[in-house]
Amino acid sequence: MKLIYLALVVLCVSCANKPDKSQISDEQNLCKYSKWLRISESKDLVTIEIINPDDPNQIRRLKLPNFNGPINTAVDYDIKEPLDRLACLSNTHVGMLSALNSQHKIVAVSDLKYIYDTQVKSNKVISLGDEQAISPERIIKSKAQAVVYSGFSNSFPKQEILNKIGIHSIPNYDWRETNALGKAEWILLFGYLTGNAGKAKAVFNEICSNYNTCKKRNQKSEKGPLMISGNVTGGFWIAPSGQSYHSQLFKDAGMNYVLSSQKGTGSIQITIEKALASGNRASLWLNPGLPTKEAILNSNVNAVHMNPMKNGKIYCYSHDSNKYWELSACRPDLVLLDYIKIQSGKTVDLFFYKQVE
Amino acid sequence: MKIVKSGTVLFLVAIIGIVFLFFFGLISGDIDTNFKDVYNALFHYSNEDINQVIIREIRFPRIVMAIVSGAGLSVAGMLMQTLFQNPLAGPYVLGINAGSSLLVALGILSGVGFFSTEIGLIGSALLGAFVFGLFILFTSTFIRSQISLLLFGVMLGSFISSIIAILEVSSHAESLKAFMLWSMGSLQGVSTHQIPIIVMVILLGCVLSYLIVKPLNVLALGEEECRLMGYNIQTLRVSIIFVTALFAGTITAYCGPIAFVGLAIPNLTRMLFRTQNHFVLTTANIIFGALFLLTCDIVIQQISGFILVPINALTSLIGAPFVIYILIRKVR
Repeated sequence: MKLIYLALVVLCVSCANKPDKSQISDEQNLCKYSKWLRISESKDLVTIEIINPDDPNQIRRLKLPNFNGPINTAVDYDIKEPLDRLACLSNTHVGMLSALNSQHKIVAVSDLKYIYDTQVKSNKVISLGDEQAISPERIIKSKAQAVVYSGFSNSFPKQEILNKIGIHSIPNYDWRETNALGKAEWILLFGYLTGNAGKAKAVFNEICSNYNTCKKRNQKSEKGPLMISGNVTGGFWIAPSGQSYHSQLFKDAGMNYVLSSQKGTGSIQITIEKALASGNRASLWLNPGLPTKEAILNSNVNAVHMNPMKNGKIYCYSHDSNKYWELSACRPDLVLLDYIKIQSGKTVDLFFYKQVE
Repeated sequence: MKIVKSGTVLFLVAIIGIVFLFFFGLISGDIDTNFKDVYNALFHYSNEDINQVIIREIRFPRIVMAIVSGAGLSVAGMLMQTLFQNPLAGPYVLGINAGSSLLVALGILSGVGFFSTEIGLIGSALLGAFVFGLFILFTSTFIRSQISLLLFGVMLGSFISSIIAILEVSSHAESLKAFMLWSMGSLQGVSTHQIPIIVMVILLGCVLSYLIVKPLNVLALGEEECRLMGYNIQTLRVSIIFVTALFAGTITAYCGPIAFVGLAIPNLTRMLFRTQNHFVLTTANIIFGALFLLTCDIVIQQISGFILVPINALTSLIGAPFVIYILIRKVR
């Protein structure tokens, strides 16, 4: 009897831990660059799989009709019609919908004061607050059909309640992508959700084409200037690590990033003296996170010894942070173009960046 | 006689420890440097040599800040503990640091440029520390229980944190960033040219503390005894709050809130020296406070290859169990 009981327990545990495998094969997958988004498309069915980067066995699967084809009544679709009312909890989501000219479908955001898009601002959309402390009542009030969230803390606290009242909650892990085009590829998610798949594909292909052309053209030139990125936070220098999204952009722009050999796909922390030793050799400083030299010196008194502080080659997006955070994920081609212009010293008409003065 | 002798030995050992750690901190770090670099950085400085720049502009101000902050916070803690006759009192626990933070938050998050400047920051921090110190003093006339006063301080801290949180939500992104950077606290936020003024303010605080040693000795016996000895108790109280605010406000302005130093070190020195002589206690707090924070800083630098630990996290890691130990002893 005990053995049977034990066998049952083992069976239950093994069933519970069974990984949720992708139903989309590599051949079917339309996403070429993204690590965490997979999409397959047939005549009457689109399957979207969003993989949790922290637990790849956890896959959020969405089945929706191919809005260009017939609706198959035998399929149990998760979303039956193109979504018209979306709550977007990250600026990057807003930027992607703007790129599809679908910003009018945004009915709620995290905080309106961080929005760049003028149309979204003027539409008087609802501010829902921080993702972890979001109010379901406000979501209901916004009449959103779906909430797209970032999953920063690996969970979305209101998911269960929203499911009960028929509001889809869809994670978006674009921020975990280390490939610039992989991050931009999440525009396809918004394209399929809103019935604009064709346009999303066209926009994304154009972004890819621009990016790859810029990259190739730049590869012919000589090795770029030695560059440092980041700034001091809480007594340590925080900068992109060697395999991060930013590091790849620096590399593609032909820059010689001083921390490119540092392992990791996110941010790294180094001591200030190490940063100063590197920064003293660098001739260029990108993304100090502050709009003026005065603000940089207020936050980091040792910045005065950085070589770029003396030669003036400091560039950042902080004069218009909302624009950068909203559009840069979707338009890595424009970020790359800015970087190429900066490293070559032709800094006219930068799209996101500005020289810090 | 024995206690005096062992006390002198303790002082000597601690001073030698500070001197050793001072030079050790100057020579060791992430970037390899040698004695010659240290000598040149201190006496023949050239900003063309990166090793000298690192020693003089990064290590030296950080180490000096560790010494003066440790000394200042410990003396501030001792003063508060004597004033409230409570071993668990301190500028951090009683909400004086929080008051300082509130005024800094109000200043920076208001978006008015002046408050983000050095003078604006120090002024806000000092004013906040002094006003909230007086407020705690005023409250202590109604709340007689030691534990209740501490709880009041903790509640005040929470209340202020809530106000700061509301200010953060409604502030401009750039102001918010400036405040967040300040509130993280660090010994690295000071440059070499700021050191003389900070050292002078802390020295002034130490001198003022020594000037009130006698009334402090009497106050330790009780307020009634203090009155009978002819001291003006109100003036003494305000003087203590002023000196505490000077220490807590200056250090909070430059380094952000640093927890538990002002609580743990005065208790440690009382345990080591077993005296109510505030001349000895003040000296002990200056020396052992400096040694403690300097040791924390050196430990952080030495383990930085494996893990980067903020100074506040390490002081709390050591200070919190020590405070729990004192609490348990008190309950027993």
